[in-house]
Amino acid sequence: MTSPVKQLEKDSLTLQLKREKAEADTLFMSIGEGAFVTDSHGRISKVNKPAIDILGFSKRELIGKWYPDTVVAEDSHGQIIPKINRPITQVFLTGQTITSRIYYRRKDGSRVPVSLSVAPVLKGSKPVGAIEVFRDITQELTLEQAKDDFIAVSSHQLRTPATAVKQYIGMLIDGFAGKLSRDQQKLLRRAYDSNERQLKIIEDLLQVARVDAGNIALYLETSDLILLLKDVVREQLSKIHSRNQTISLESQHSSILVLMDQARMRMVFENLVDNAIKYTPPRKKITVRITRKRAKVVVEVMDEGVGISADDIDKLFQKFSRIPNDLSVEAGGTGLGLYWAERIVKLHHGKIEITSTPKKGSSFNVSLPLIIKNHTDKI
Amino acid sequence: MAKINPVRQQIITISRDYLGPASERFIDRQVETHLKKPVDEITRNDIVKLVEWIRLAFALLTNDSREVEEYVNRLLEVAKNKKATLSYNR
Repeated sequence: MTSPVKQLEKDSLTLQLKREKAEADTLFMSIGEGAFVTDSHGRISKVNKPAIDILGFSKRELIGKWYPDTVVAEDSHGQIIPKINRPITQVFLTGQTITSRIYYRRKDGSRVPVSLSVAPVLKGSKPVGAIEVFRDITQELTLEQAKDDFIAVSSHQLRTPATAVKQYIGMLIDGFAGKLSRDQQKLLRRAYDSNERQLKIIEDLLQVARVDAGNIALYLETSDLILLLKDVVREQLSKIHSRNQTISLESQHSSILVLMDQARMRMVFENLVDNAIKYTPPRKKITVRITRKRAKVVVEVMDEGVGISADDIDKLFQKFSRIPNDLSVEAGGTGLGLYWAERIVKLHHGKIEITSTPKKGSSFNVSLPLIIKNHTDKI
Repeated sequence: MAKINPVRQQIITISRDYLGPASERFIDRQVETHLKKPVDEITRNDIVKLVEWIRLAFALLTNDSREVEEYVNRLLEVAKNKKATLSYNR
């Protein structure tokens, strides 16, 4: 028989556990964003009010139900995301917290865009389920869309008059309106150069607007990557010499054939080499190295430049992101080049990785598969 | 010639009944991610920990709890060094 003291201790412990559970439940229910907890069988064991409000289901329609079938997830094209690719499954495949933007289907069949974060629930080190927190991002997406539309329309509208200015200045320089003095030539040359920069910025904005709108179709053809890189390097030689820098192209192969959109990949590498030149001080070296690794090819664009701190590396691929450093003012730019380059490389099923040491230099590594299945990929 | 790890091979063979051709990649990824070791170094002692993660991931791929438990039990049999021959009757 249990002694009164032991019974008292047991009761006290039970009470404490109940209190802790009640506190945890209260905490869960007061999360300002939608939240689910799933158990070890993938069934919803907890759901809070914001989740119910966002999805339009009642609590009874969610609790105990198998999560993947009950809360249907779609991508931006309205395709159902396969169960293996759903963020909650990826949590258990990777053991990591996953953040993602997807669409959930409400009870009434409408779609709601959500930003979510899912993490495994661990008891000690044993995984017992998952917790997902999500919020409705309809307003954010509307604003983003409005911003993208504004950029697309305004840059298109800007390009036509800016191109006309270029034509007229060119005609003046060429003497179509009479002979010019040396000072007039000098001033018009400056105007021409400024206009060139302006057109480059407008073109960058348009390229990004096209990528963001999903209006880029790749024209894939089998092309020699080495030949393309030789050409990119050759075109940058005058700029490199003017900055007293050196550049080398290294490869064990004389030719590597890759299925790619040659024009767009060319712009990606031009962008990376141009950045290496701009952010590397005079008398330093830039190296472009191409290696074949199994079914992929890796192009490393290495410089001995100002480098990037670990905190700033993630910001590099964000739109309009510019990292302040000793050369950034002189280098100029819109902060769109790397954003665009990453999107293009992703469209080729490749990726860009960066390693960098501040004040020592950076390496931008582009890896591309040697074969891509879909020839007309769109995003 | 590289020696094939028999434990990995047994796990993959069982997994094929449930996950099909994706099982090799699925298992190798689970081993590398959760056990933090090369796939060819997996031992019977690793299976219990590995199964905890596999159970949760698989439970999100199928709504059939019986199938999940059967898959998990067959994997755990490998940990006990038993011959795992039970096949799910679908």
